[in-house]
Parts: sequence; C-alpha cells; structure tokens
Amino acid sequence: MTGDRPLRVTWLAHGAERTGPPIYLLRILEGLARHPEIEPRVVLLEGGPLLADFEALAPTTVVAPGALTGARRAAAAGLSRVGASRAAASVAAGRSTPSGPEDPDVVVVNTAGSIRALAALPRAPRRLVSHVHELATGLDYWLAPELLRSVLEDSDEIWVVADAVGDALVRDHGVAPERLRTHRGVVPSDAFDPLDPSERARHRADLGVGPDAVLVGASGTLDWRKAPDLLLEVSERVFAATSTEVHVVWIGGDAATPWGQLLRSAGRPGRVHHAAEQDRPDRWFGALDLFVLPSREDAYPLVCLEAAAAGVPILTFDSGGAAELIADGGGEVVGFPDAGALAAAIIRYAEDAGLRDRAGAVARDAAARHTIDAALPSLIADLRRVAAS
Amino acid sequence: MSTPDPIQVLLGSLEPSEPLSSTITFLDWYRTRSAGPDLEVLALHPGTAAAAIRAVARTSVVYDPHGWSVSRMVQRAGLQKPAASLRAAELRRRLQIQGPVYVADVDAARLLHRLGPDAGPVVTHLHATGPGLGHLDEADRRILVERTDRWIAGSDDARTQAVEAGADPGVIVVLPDLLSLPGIGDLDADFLASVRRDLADRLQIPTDAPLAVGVGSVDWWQVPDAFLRVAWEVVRRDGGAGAQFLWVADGATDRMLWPLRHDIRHAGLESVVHIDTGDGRPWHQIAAADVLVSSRLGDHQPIGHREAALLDVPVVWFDDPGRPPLVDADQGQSVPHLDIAAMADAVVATFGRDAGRDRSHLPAGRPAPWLPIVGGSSILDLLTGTVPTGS
Repeated sequence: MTGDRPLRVTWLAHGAERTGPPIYLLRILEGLARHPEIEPRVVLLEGGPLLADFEALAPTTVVAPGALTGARRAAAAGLSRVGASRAAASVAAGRSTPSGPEDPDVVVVNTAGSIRALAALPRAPRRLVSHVHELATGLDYWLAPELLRSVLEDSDEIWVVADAVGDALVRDHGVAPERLRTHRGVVPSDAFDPLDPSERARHRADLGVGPDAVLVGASGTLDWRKAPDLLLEVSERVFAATSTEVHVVWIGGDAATPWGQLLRSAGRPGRVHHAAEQDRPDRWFGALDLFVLPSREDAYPLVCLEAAAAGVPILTFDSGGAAELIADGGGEVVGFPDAGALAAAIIRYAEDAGLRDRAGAVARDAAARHTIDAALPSLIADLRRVAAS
Repeated sequence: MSTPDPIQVLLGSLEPSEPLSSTITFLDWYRTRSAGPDLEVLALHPGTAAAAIRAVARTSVVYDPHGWSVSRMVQRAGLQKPAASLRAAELRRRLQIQGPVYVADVDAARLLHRLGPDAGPVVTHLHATGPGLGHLDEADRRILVERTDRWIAGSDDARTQAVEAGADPGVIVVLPDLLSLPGIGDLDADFLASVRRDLADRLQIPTDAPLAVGVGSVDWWQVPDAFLRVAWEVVRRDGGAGAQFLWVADGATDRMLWPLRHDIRHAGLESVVHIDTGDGRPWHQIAAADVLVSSRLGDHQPIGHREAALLDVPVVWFDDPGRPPLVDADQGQSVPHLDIAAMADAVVATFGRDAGRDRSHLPAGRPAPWLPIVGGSSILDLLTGTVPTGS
C-alpha cells in the first residue's frame, strides 16, 4: 500500500495477441488478483484475441493509433511533424485516453516496443520502468532509434526477462549494469499437471504419430526470427542419420505466411507436421518427447518454460535466454548455426529415453522456480522500491 | 506523315527483380536507337530501382509517396474513399491511350482494368524468373488474358502457364529474359584480377582466397540465410578453410540487409561472409568467383545462373524436382533441397579451379536471343506488329 491506498501500476503493452509478452502480462495480472495492495491498469496499443482476458483482470484501454481517421489523424500527423509528439499523441488518443486514476505511481512498459504507448498517457509518468523482452531484432531493427533512446534514458529502472537481454543492453547500448533487474517469464501452476495419457495419445494420433515414435516439437509464430527454415534443415539431418522414427511438429503460427508455406512444401511428408495455434499450447507440450527452439534470437520464450513444466527436455541454439533455463541440465545448447550439432543432440535424446527422462525432470525443476507465486514477491517488492525511490 | 503512337510500358513495381532487370535492359537498348515511337513507363508501385529505370525511360508511379496529385493531397487529408475514387479517375484518364502496350511484368495486370479500349496491341511478358500467373487474383488474371494480344514467355514453363490460363498458343513467343553484359568480351585475366583487387580494397577479401558468390535480393525466396549456413559449413571442411563468401545484393538498403548481417555476426562469420550492395554489374563478381552458390528455393532460370553459365563459372543449386535445370551438368551441380551439408561439399569441390583465367573468348559477338540487340528487336517487333506471331 502507498499510505492507505494500493500502489497504482499502469502497464503499457503493444497488444493482446497470443504471443509471449501479452501472455506474460496476463499471467502477472492473474497473480496480482490475489494482491489487493497493487491496483493494476493496462493500456494497449492494439487489441487482439486476448483483449477480453485483459479486461477481465484489469481496467484496460486500447489506444489503437492505427485506427485513426479523418481530421483527428490529420491533426495528430501535423502536430507530430512539428515535433509536438506528446500533444500529437493526446490528440490521437482522444476519447481513448486511459480512464480512472491519471497519476499512477509506476508505469511499466511491457516490452521496449510498447514505449510508443507512453505518449497516450495524459502526462509523463512519475516513475517509469521498462521491462525489456527483446534482443537485437526487437531493439535495433523494429524499434525506432528515438524510442529506444527513450527506453534507455527515460526509464528509472530497466527490467529484463533474461540475463542475455541484460548482457546485450550492457554490451551493445552501454547500459549501466546497476540499472538492470531480471524478471523472467512465468508459467501457470497447472502447466505442471501431467497430461492425461488419452489426451497425449489423441494429440499424437492427430498427427499420425504412434506411441513408440519420438515427437519433437517447436512452437511460435512462423517468421524469420523463429527460424522454421533452420528446423527443417535440422530435421532432414536427423531423418538421414537415425533409424529411430522421429517426427517434428511446429505448433502455432500462420500457415499462410511464406514461412508456413516453406514448412509445408519443404518438410518431409508424413514426418514434418504443423499444428494450428492452440489456446493453451502448454497443454499440448505433454504430448512431446523433446522440445527444440531453433530461433535465430529469442529473449526468454515462454514456450520453453511451458515445455520444461511439462517435463520435456529442451534443445536450442545459443540464441538468447533459453540457455539460462536449462543451465542445470534440462537440455542442451549448441552454437548458432550449427545445424549438425543440433541434429546430433536430437538424435542422442531421441535414441535414449532415460536421458530424456533425466533431462526432463531437471527442466521441470527449473520451471518450478518460475511459477507466478514464486515470481510475484520480488516483482511487487521492486515496484514498491521504484515507487518509493 | 503522322507520328506513331507512343509505347506504354506497364510495371507492377519498381523493386529490384529479375523481370525488372530484363525490362531495364530492353529500355536501355531502346533508348540508344535513333528512331522509333516515344516510350513511357507507368508503374503501379515505387521501389528502390526507380532511379535505374528513370535513367533509361520517362517514368511515372501511381502510388508514388513523394509525387503530387489531387488524389494524393486528398489522401493526405485523411479522406481515403474520395482519394481512391480520384485516383481511379486519374488512372483511367491516364490510360485512355492508343498504341502499343508492353505489360512488362504480370503484376501490372491491375492497371489493365483501367486501360482504354483503343489501346493495343497489348504484349504481355511472362518472364521465366517472375512470380508467374498463379499469384494474381482471379479478376486480374482474367483481364490480363482478355486484353493480351501477344505473349512473350521467358521459358517453356512460362508458355505452359500462359496456355493453362487461357492464352491462345498461337500468339505466344518464347524468348529468354534479356541480359545486359556490356564488355563481356573484355573479361581477360587482367580485368578479373582488377575485380578481385577491388573486392580486396572495399571488403577485405584476400585476392587469392577461394571465392563463392551469391546474387539476389534479400528475401525469404533467395535465402541468403542458407548461403550463410553453407559458408559456415564450408570453412569447417578440409579444403574450405580460408574460403570467402560474397552476397551481391544490388540496391539493397541497410534495413533490408539487417537480418543477414545479424546472422553473420551471430555466427561469427564477419571475416568470411561479405555483402556487396553492388554497382549494377553483379556478373563482374560472378566472373571473378570460383563458384556461384544459388540458395534460392526453386526456379532454375534466374539471370545469375545464366550469367554464370555464359561466364563458364560453375553453379551449385538446390534441386527442385519437377523443374528442369537450366545449367548443364558440366557447368554445375544440384544438391537435394535445402541440404546445406551437400551444398557445402559441392562448393568445396569447385575450389582449386583457376578462377581468374581469361574468359575473353566467351560469348562475345555470338548472336543469342538474350542479347538486347536480338531479344529487344523481337519485343519491339511484337509491339509494333511488324512480324506475325507464333512460336
């Protein structure tokens, strides 16, 4: 509490789509529902399929600047052109200006890219925390330099979802290490519930995978960063080098994208599969024997946490924070882009059920440190500290 | 004597592509002629090759973000629907023309909905290297077939596509995409050595290192990512140590190249894989290479392959079952689709050839349909109607 009232925290997020950062924020909000000392609000730049979930957990405003039309759009553009960006944002926000208390104690930007939503607030925040979920692709490619500067210079504190993100900020952007705090992804407690054997058999049967075959899963949007092309290359090496029946499934992503088409056209028929986006992909992961993260870059993917919670070992390139999750032996990390080494690791695990079981148990223990209940106390403590600073 | 009607050239976009490269070669040849009707280019969308095409022909762009028009001003005021109506009217007025129309890429089909009834003949070029008719909307494909009087197919595959879409086989001419290789007769050892010295000066590529070259825009189709992974494999093989890899991406911007540079850094290959944004003559780099690595996902008629074949540089490419390879077996090798390890083996096998040897005996002066003077004349004859059609 701040005096006799709850601590007001407004989270700014880019949207309510079914990707890692919005899901992370939803899980935090679910946890905070049991903590009346925090009064959360949410400002989203765009809506999305998870919007109703946000609205159920906290007062939520969608700014949706892309939907502006007519005179408001022209006025906002004119103000922006003459450098009056805050006034432009206010005009753009219009009736969408976040309702309720206008002076949160702390504003948390959930992903650096969401800093754009800052302009929709009626006034500059008293305390600003940027929670960075991105590595170079998000920070240097997608984010405009002035917005990145705002994240790095205007934030009272910078949180990162993995030490790999912190290292990159220190190395590539000169951020002082003492400004960094690590708050990793979280996993719901029911993700640890074993998948019902009949469900496991049904998921596998849907793909034509029998109980004795080894099912290797990957999950995420189908795009360059998530690297389905690398997974295909690795898969072919695996198929060529082992007599074990290995199947590969990509869970989620839009099959209509070029990357989805590539998966369909270049994946070995009957051995490489695509499963449509799932409401709860974590409930799917119990059907897997191995989880592979082929990403070119990934800060701290929730899918790895969820696979680990399901007791599935994780194999990945050294492309971000997943290596931190499996540092105790919950899987293996190989150098990027050593497809041969990743294929060899998959074969080793595919051919050794004992190895899978041992690594899966270690992965599960690691994931157990990432439940919402385990993560919230330090997050709340940091919010209080920032507010009081 | 009346002035002949101008030739209207229609393009979908001015982004670099092999069909656009062939079109620029045609336009460049056309402007050097001493006589002939005026020629104008109308493109639907802008692109980074705008300067190259404006250098050879008067060009306007429908959706030009920097251009001025009433519809553009209305759009800037946020009035989208009136702007669209005005744009349609402007376009209809612009295309109420008489005279020949050269549809130089199939994406220009959308413009044909506004083309006046007196325009013609309409000659559509279905390039060997283009995206084909399959990606057009049904309405655009239909208007393209209805309005086209004569077709140019860049390959037998393209001809089949046109026939399957409803084109009369009797009005289709097969003609390879045009290549512009000025000075191909000067590729003696001194010239090739000068190319390597230039690469050493600009990109620190040692002049005596084995050199593998890839060419193309930076997109998922050309797969420079696969090129990079081939490089990663090659330098770890016996015979591959010290090899250098060069991706030539003419006209690519820093933003377009960002993902490739990211991967190069991530893989620790900064001293092995280089990027050259080019000078519009990638065949210089191909000529000076030991091997052309073609990492694209299909389509074996790319200009780079043909240039390499003409320059006697071996090509390695991914096999695409069902499509005939252009490059003869003695000029290169195909490997299974996306089999990076096999491609790395094939690349290493090409090293040790005398890449810098004199090639001045190569096809200079040999009449070939890809030469602008031969192929360009054929296109012009179809537009001006002085020859009967038929393949």
